[in-house]
Amino acid sequence: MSELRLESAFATLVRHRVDFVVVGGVAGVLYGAPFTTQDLDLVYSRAPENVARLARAMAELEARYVDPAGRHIVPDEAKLAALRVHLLETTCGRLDLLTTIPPNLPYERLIAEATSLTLGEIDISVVNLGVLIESKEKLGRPKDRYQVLYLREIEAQRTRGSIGDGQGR
Amino acid sequence: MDAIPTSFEELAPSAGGLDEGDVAQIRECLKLTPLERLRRLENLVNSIHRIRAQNR
Repeated sequence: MSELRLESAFATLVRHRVDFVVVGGVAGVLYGAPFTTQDLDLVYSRAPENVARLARAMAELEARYVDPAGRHIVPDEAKLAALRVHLLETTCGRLDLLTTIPPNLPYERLIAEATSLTLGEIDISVVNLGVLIESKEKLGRPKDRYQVLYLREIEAQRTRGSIGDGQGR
Repeated sequence: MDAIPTSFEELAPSAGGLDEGDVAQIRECLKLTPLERLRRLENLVNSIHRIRAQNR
């Protein structure tokens, strides 16, 4: 298993001008949640030109599907256009590429309300905190319910004005 | 010992389901920038992987 190198993964995606929104546990961490997660979950635009850029970024990250049978299957343009979920291993760690999150929200819906965060030299889009909470509640797995407790507290602190726009200090 | 919790009853979760220790952790994370939060996660996860690898 490769080391988790999230900054590097984001830098590669941005360099290839991939349209994506960060969702899942890493989105929670970016908002200030203290839990851990071992993979990066992204929702990507299925526009053909974006799928082509994403395929090039995946090639640079040496992405391949996580396959219990040990086969080496790469996420090429055809697969990224046709399939809805891609669970990948890359040189930057585990990466899950998704086309929607519950309740059936695609990139176009998520980007409309997303928060833009600056990570050093790059800007990324992160799913709206309220949408993230709603999505995790819909998923309803024990780990999602646990994470929602933290995300709701962060939302409450934002409402109380303890923090501003998610950019930290 | 006034105001210092000394029983499990006093450690009951808040209305949101978290206890004071959890909320304190969130407050610490909120002092960081998003980039610092990301690096904290990377360091933690990679440290866990290294420890697991050493103990295999």
